[in-house]
Amino acid sequence: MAINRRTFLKRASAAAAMGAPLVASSRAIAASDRLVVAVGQWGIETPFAWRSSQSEKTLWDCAYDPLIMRDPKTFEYRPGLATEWKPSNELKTWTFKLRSGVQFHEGFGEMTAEDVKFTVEQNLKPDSQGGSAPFFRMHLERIETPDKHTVVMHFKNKVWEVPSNFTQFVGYQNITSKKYVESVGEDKAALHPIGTGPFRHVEGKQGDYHRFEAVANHWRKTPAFKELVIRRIPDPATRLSGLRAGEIDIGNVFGDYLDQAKKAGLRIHETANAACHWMVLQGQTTPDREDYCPSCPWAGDPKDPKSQENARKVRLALNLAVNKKTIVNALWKGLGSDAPFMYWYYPFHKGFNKDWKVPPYDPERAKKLLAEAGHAGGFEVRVNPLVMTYALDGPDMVEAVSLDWEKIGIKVRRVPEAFSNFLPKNRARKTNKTHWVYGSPPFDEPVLAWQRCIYSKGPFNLLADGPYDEDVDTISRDSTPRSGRG
Amino acid sequence: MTQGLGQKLYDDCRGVMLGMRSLTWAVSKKVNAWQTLVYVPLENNYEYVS
Repeated sequence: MAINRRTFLKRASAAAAMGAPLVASSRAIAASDRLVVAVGQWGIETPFAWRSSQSEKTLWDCAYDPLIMRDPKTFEYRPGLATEWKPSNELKTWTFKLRSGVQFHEGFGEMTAEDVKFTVEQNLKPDSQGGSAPFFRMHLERIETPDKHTVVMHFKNKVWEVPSNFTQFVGYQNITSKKYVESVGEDKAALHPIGTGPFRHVEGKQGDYHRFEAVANHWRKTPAFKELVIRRIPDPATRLSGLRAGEIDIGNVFGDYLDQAKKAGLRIHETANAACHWMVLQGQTTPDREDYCPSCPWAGDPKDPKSQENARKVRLALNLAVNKKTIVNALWKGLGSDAPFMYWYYPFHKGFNKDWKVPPYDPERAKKLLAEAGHAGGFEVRVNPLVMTYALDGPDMVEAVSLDWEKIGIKVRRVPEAFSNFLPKNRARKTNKTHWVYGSPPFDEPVLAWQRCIYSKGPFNLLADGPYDEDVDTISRDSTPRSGRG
Repeated sequence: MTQGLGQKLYDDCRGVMLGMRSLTWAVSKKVNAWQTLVYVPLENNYEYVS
């Protein structure tokens, strides 16, 4: 049954008022000493750097430390497990000096250069699917450990982007205990991660929750709460219910749930301009990939200029058909804007152009463009209304877009699949051309994201990979010193 | 060069742009302060929750 936007938004509101299961409490620890965070989603739940993407960070960054931290207010680099890092040999060699005396949890000894070497080298394994694994496989030559607090990484090429790969965000080379992983095996180690972070993993249930306890006198900061529980609760109504009942202390709220949280007297914490959202139009990839779709109206045949021109018209039509202001106002409650915008290009990046505005809402022009492109009668698309780590209201956004597309004749087939299942398919470019809403995190420079997300040699396709490979290669190999963020 | 590729991506309309938004969390009375990372759309820095 087709529903209009008003009905859809009304239903979304009603869902928030429904009852929800309670969050389980834990053992003999005072409630005042326990912090319960309700996370909407995480990725594939791996704690390991060589299998990770940013989507695991919300769960595991508390148990691990990166080599380089971030200043929370400026995003600039700060010392982490590495107290200093510097390039030599024309950016082909990077030397990291490590903090001394940092201990792995549960008596697995001091974190040393051997642990850093072990962690980074796991990226070289052919089955390592982590977001940075292609970077290391492509560029890393060898790692030396002249003493227990010095790591020297030798690369085949000039690589200015090394520090970014080791940062708190968006790098994910959290240092793992070599001794632990080698003694119990990777599968077992994944279920009970051992790191050096400010919280020690105690226990957990895959897909549900993980419990941690604070590490005293931690070099980063000794946590104020003795216990941390991180729960995965994708349903916003359930999160709000837990917050109202006092069983959750931190939970993402949005849309009508935001209004309800305010009415319930809950304080709101805001991170301004934290995500750019777009609908990923799958099928725009290279011929060797299963998702490659030259016959898809929005992708076109790369070898046929006319087909490419029509595909661009179709994509513009799909943009013009969507009422972005309604999404900003109704779903995001005005806490966002339809401009400025660009793919991983933030206003704080050098060269950002304020003319990059979101295309206006113009369904009539959208219909004309479809007709010009030979698709006056529309066509069918598949969409996945998934809850993504950075887009917890992904189902609402996908539905809003779908309803608008239907108004210009697009037949939208909704095929829900959980992010944890869908993410590996996205990595393999095997989504069956299924569109979904993504939310981007910030990178030090746009090309660091482009290397990962619009590059056929990168781990993901989050826009289009193939057409821009040459540009990404050229920009990546430009070793002009970066103003950067550290 | 970076701006050039940015322009190309914009002109090619490869995705369907929706917009830039802020992220919001409701916090209980137990949470007095929480220094999250600027720009980052995820829960982080739990050790800074006081």
